[in-house]
Amino acid sequence: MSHPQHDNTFGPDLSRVRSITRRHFFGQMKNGIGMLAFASLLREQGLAATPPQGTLFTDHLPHFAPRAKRIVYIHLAGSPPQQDLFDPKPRLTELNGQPCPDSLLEKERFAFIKGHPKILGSPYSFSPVGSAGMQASTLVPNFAKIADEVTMIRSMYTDQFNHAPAELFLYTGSARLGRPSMGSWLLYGLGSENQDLPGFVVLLSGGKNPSSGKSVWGSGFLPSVYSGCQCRSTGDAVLYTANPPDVSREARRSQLDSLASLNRMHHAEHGDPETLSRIDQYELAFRMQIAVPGVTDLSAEPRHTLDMYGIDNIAKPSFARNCLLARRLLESGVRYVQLFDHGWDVHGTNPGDDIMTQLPLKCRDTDQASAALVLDLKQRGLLEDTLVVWSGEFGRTPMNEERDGSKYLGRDHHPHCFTIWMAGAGIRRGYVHGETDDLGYRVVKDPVHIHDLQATILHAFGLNHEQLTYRFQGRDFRLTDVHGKVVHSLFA
Amino acid sequence: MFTARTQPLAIVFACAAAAAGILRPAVVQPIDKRSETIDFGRDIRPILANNCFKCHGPDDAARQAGLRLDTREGATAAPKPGQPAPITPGDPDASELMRRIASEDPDEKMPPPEVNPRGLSQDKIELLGRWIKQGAPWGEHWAFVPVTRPSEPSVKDRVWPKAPMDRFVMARLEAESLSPSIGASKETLLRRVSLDLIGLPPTPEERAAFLADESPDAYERVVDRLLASPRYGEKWARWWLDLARYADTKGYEKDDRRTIWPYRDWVIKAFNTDEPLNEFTIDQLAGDLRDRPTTDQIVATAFHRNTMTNDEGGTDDEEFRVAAVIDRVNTTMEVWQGLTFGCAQCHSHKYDPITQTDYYRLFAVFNNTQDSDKADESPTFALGAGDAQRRIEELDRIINDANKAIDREVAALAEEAPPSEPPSEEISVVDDHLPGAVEVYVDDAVRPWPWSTPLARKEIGLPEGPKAVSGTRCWHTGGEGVAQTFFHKLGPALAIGVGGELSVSVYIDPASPPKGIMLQWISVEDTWSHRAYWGDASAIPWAKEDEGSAKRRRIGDLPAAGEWVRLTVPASVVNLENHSITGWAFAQAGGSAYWDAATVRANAPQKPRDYIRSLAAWIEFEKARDAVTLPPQLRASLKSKDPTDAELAALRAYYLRYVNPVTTARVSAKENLIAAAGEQRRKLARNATELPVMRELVDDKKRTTRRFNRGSFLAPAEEVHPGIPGFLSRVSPAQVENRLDLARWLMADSNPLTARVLANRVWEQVFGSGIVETVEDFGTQGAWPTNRELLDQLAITLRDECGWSLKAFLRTLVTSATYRQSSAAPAQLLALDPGNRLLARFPRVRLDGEMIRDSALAASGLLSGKMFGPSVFPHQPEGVWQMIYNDDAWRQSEGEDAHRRSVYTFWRRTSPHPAMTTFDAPSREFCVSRRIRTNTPLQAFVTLNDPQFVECAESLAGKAEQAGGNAGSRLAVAFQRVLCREPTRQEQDELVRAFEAQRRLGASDRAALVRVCSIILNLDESLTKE
Repeated sequence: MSHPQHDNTFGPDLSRVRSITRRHFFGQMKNGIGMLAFASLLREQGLAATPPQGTLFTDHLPHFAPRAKRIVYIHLAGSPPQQDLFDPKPRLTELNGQPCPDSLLEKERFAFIKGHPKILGSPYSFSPVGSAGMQASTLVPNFAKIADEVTMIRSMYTDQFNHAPAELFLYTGSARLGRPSMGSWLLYGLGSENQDLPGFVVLLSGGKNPSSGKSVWGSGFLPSVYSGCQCRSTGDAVLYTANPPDVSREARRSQLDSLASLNRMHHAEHGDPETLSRIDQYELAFRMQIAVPGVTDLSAEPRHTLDMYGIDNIAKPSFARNCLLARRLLESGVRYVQLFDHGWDVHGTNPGDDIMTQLPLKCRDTDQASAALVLDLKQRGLLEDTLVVWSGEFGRTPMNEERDGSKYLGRDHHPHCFTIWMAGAGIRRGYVHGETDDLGYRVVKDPVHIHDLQATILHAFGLNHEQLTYRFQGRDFRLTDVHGKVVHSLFA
Repeated sequence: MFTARTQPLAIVFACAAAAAGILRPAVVQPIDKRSETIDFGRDIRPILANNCFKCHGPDDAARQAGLRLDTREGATAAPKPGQPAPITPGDPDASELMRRIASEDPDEKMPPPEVNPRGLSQDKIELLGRWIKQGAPWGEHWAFVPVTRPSEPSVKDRVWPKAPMDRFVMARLEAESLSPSIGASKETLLRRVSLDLIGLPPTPEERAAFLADESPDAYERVVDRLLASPRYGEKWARWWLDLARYADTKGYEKDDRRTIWPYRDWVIKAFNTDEPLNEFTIDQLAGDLRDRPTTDQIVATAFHRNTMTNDEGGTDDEEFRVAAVIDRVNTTMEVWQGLTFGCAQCHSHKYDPITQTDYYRLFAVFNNTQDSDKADESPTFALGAGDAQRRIEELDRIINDANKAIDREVAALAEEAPPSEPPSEEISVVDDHLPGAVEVYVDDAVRPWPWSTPLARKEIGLPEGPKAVSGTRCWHTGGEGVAQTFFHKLGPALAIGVGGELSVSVYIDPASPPKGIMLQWISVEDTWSHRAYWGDASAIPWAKEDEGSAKRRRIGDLPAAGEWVRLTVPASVVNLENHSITGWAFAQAGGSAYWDAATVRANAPQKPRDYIRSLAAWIEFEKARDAVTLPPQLRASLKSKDPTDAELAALRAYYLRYVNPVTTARVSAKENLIAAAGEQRRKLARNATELPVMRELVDDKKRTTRRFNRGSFLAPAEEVHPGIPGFLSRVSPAQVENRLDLARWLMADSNPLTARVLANRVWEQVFGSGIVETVEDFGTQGAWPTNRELLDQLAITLRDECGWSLKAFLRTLVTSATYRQSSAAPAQLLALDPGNRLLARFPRVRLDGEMIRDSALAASGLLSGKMFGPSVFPHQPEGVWQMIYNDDAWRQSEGEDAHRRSVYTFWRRTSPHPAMTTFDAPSREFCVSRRIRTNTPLQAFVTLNDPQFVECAESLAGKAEQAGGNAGSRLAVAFQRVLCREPTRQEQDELVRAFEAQRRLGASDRAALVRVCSIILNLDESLTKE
């Protein structure tokens, strides 16, 4: 067609997107649409179907050899306090209860802190773990088992200090709604490796959705096939996958055979390839009805595996159960598994959100399973090309929040520094990246911005974050907006 | 050549499927690839735009080397003296541009690798060379030149065209040596036009009537019947509501409900009454600014109140007010102008001639409405309860006038220190004034304290209530359900010692006694966990689990009504001994009560509250505690290092009005009036439907608009005045000061874009894709029109011939010969024109989610015809709504409300109905011009397994059974209800086979019938407009 203005590979030509996506919902081809676009490009160029060396083409995907094939992102929604888990600050303990220095308050906006807050030393003690100088508090005893597998980043920072915008920022690169999430970008770029399962699965625990709602796994302006598929703990794992109560699998098979036969008759009349595609999608759905319950059925898991994750009842929704589910999904070729665990917003307004009661509960529910997931992936040889990320959306203040004079200990939202860890897929084993100041208020060494983290994750998948773009409303959009630098030192 | 990459790959992938993943080239070259004469706009500008404009385009800030290539003047002049001009018209060899794009030297080569690592292809270089040789003719972008009526092309086939538009289609087909498809069958055409005009398939009766009608205008009469159907407005509203980003919630984190469905109803009615699109536009953008606006015109302005509101704690209202204004600018320009304005928020557009100042000119037009991201969605308009809106406006005026009078009085008052209170065992907490600086909540919102005097209440028309038992005034609480009035954040806290007591006088309204009353205190140590109550134990449920403890203690029965009763609570029973309180709440379950003389017998030394005695002391006090009770504006002033005189005056006024008890008393009569009017206003609002609407700020409150550096509201730069973008004002000049001017300019004949954009949007709804495929982008980065003359012809038709009547325009479209073609796609035609850009057939497109559900409901006889009203809740699986900070639950509607048309389904932005989103419905957070049509297995699950569709299959089976006969004939009835045609012999055989197969698998006759009906509802044809 004579539209040279759509030079960009992934332009807004809907008929094209449509024809691609319907065939690639679950990545029937080994590679995603990037590869397809590239292949068709080669065809148009009259070139052989082998990718040329180097970067002659900016838009062939992946852009370079990937280290990661899949990712599980563990999100502690609400954001855990780094000072009480992984970034010990003896100075805070010394200054505990004293008004914080004025310099910390200048030009600051807090979500809830009012007046002049007081320093809050961690009530928990720390001990060294692993061989790289990491420390972990008594709240996360199992972390010691994986300390030498992970890179701990103590120098994360973000631009946002409220949950919804910060979560959107982390997953879509923008604090406002409407952009595609990281998982959608990955699926868009790389497709999926399983024909019968969604390529991007979301698992929730803690009883609530994340603050920003489904937008953090939405596809934004990318076609909806790239959005995350929520795998639910109760009812159908994937919405509407269960047949009506009286319809058996045989009955459904028979229905689909007739349906396909009728659709083919119609296709013979009309010749629209979309009809054939629809037949395929119904067949895919039929396979998915087996694949989804299969992968989500934990009853075949041996007792010792359940014990490793700390699962006592496989039917009960929990974070630990989601970790094990994540492993099974990753094992089955799901590209991106996103975990959200609600309940980490420890402001200290009551025992349900404080550091003495709620935080230990949350840690108890997640520490063992997070470590188990890394170890389980390792023993199955999956950790080599599976990226594991553990993070909140921002950090928490070194000061006690004391909202309305509350006597419960808690910390307010804090965008200037927080700690996350990553493992697998070529990430350095046993390495601490970055440092915060004495009070744990700001980063003093090797800062890593949210956009840098995104660029680094895409890099692990062999994608150049500046080149993975999509044209929308006249602009080329990317996950990292116009920012982001790959942190190469995180890789071994 | 790269251009070919936009070729639709449908065929390619069909082949790919057959060849197990191996891609094969299409056999026939698509038509659009054939080269024609060079057109600057279509062929040259995109090359320059994509490769050069980023550094040499309209954005002054980004321009390199002083060179611009987006204008002919720039491209043909020397950027600096002595340097060669990029383009020497007629002479490619002398053109620096040609030398640089062909250069192998990395320092010279253009575009640089970071813009285009491959460099320009040989084809493009040759194209540029030929164009320069032809004299480098420039041209304005096609969409920015005025619409003129194109001359009708001559065509060989004079029989086929029915409407002028058909000649344009025919001319193009003849140029490609193609002919149009045969006409669709009567049945196909009837179903097609029903779906297009009313979004529902024809009923068996409508089908029979049409098939029996052999008169020559039978079809035209069907069209007229459909256009007159009330279903028409419901169908077309869906389209508009995507653009208007209509939803039933506010968006963002909390995503609370909002009442804005009257706007949805207005849209449906406006389509049904065929309000001309120019009036339709002006009503929505500026109905409130019209001369004596009608209620409908006010309701229409809710169009731009569909912006999101952020109720999350700790968010800056100004930030999200600005976000809403930005959304209004972007949406307006996208909907009516087809321009992607968003880029210019931060910097001048890189490709289109839109400057950042142009952006803020439009921002200024929208920047003077009263709304400011408030949780109560003000300003609102009350609908429904008689003349509620008029009375509310009256009360608003009373409140406004009283506030102004207080401002004046206070400004004239001298500061006057109250006499120091003698130490007393009984400390007055609230009597005729509040205890110093506090924050007051009434019915869950920050409001003035509800003071009550018989005089003020009488003046407002409320029951007078009792005289105060102490001082000159008491306070009144009341309302529906469990409600509370409280103050908190008192500083310093009131210390209570051993043996302390808390007392208040209450007057239970004999005309309306509450079921129970409750006092609560907030202590520094323990938050609001000190409660004492009287009356029914189940009346107020708070802290039910702590019954009998200090957290919730029943003191006695409800006090006698109609007299003042003194209530006294020993501090010990509510665990307040040795505690310090900072707030006190007065709660009740229904009814009405008056309160007076809240006191504390403290039995403990108190920190003095000296700050109330002088402005300076109060300011110091507030500074020390971060001004926690002050409104944001005052808080900012207080913290400002260098407050202005106006800011100081505002602080002083606040102190005199609310903090100092002596001066407070001077304005108490007016405060009492404000309290009474506020109560009356809330009462009226509760009984009415309050809809957020647009209202302009009065002159002295108008905001100054400044350009924001990099689009950040925290970085205001120079002032900008309202106006339209410069490049459009050259073609279509207008003085635009406000929204009304803007709306009129948009709909003016001289505006080059509106008629094209709207005609294209309607065309897309009917023909599946736009003549300009990027319906949202008519700028230089948008798609080139597939048939420019056709689009201009349609624009003229819509604007001039139909006088902006959508119905008349649709009638033209659906009675055309182009529309009546068959949608069959013979292999040859499919290969030649896979995207159906030439319209040698009718396009086959999948229905949208709403139409799929509505059609299934209609065919199975379940669809309710009930129109309008609050949104409804059809079946949705458990657990889909799970929101933080929001316990709102999806409670399934009962009766026919479960089967209403989908346009009435409740739309939560963070969680729209899953059956709709699976079929590509947007979130409605922002304006969406085009829904993508995907084809996924999750869609199969919806139409096969969603209980709504299962119910449809069951009901359809019921209809089939009623028809009687054997399985074949019953299934034929079901088939026909869905598809408006008889099954072929072959199809009917297959349906019967399917039925028998299900019987063999053990299904009863009825169950087998249901399962085959489900097959019918899932046919590709059922999900498609043929």
